Amino acid sequence: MTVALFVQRVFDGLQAGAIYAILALAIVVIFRASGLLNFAQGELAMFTTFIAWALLDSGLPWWAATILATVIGFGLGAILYRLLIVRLGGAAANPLAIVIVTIGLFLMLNDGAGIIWGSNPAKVPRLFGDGRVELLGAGISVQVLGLLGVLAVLVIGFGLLFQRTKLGLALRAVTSNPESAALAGIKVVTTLMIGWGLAAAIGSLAGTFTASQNLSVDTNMMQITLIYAFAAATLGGFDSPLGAVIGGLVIGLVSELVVGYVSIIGPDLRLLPGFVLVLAVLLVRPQGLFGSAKVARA
Amino acid sequence: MSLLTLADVRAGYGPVEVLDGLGLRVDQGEIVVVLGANGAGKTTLLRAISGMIPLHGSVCFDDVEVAGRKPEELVRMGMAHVPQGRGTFNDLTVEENLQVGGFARSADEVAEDLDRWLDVFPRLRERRDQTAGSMSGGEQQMLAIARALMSRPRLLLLDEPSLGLAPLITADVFERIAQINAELGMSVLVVEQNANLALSIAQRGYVLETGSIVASGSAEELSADDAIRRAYLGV
Repeated sequence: MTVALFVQRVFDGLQAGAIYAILALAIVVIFRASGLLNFAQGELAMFTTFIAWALLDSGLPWWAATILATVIGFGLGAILYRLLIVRLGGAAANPLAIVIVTIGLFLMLNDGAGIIWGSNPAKVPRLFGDGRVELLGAGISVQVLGLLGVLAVLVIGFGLLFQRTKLGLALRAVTSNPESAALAGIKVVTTLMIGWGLAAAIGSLAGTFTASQNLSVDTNMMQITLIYAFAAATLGGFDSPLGAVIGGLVIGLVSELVVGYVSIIGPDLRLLPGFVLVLAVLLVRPQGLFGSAKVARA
Repeated sequence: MSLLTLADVRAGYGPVEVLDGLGLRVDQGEIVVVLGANGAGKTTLLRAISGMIPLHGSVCFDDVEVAGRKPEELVRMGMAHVPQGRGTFNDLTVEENLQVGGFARSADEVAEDLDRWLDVFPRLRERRDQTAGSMSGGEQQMLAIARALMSRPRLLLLDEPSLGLAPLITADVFERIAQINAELGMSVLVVEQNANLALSIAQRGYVLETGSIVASGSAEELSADDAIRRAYLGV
């Protein structure tokens, strides 16, 4: 029974952690592509999740709605970059203004979704069905396994994209030095539109997975997740996609296990353990577990 | 035959006009130097030519009017610009820097040229997998030049390659530029404060003062001119 309980808690932790990890991946992709933090990343995910729900409501199966919403998310992210961030001059010109604008977007998307779809939660099904797999006496839901599988595909896919493809090289070059990237023939704005689009698409997945776990969509569903995702990116290192994912899983696990096994930290303090961990790691490694410390000789 | 011709070029930043109706010419296969003190407008001149800032007037490259075109178009036409401060991608490895330099070209051409420039610059081969930011200034300058060459330019724009480098290394950089120019017949427009070295490899030169060309001539003429010697050669 105790082993079963432990296994159950590990998978509960991984389930929460995988969602933090996916949203953290979106944050890291934006950070790597444009050196910016997008505070609206979570609300953008909530918004596209509502779009997925609307598609579900119109008769599409949930999985198809999820995929379609991810594609729409890509478009929204790219448009957002082109219409808003470019007009503000990009990260080089105005990083603080853009961060404030993303906070404004946070509020706008939150209220916008409320106006369009109402503030009452809307019901959605599980993405991978209600099945369960027996493991060491614990019942692991197929939903968790599917989520972990998608996460693994995302990590490998983005690792290959950044390290092995021309687009990945362009994204990294634009982040490192936009002016030189343009001089080398890279279309900077187009490249960054793709980067923001990819981030919004990944974020959209985090949203539909959260909804699949809560069995509902509501306008505030991504807010705590965003905080955890920032913590995950900080823990793993803002420039490391793999770090963000491991950071997310570790925070999910630690929160679940500490809340489960340390009786003085009840569910009321569930935010605490993860953030204590982040703080402790940062004291030793300010760049995060997998982040690279900036090295530059004059 | 003229590869690059500027006529009545005005450019600057917002309301501040730095270049005041400037004209110059670079012929096929020629090394041309633009001498000028700090603030004369040397960097602005190169930024205007390569499309990084807007300009008024005419820039004719390879018989095509290119004023107003973007850097990413011009690099595809055969113009490469090594910006001031080298503009290397510090977080990328040496090899990745060179790959970015060949971005507008096919993978086969990039692989071929990568090998070639790593042969020409053996230091870069040694540091192939190291990040550019961790290299010395001289190595970074070599990398910046090699990166620009990866686009197989017909015109190379160089912004103060001597900046921040020790004299011996600067001499080495200029020697390489002269060699590559001789081997490839690639034209070079270099702006410099270090007039001695630049004139030693150039065929012709211009003197830029507060946004206008105030003197021009062959490298020998400029080296022999008393006023220029006093102002830029420190003798």
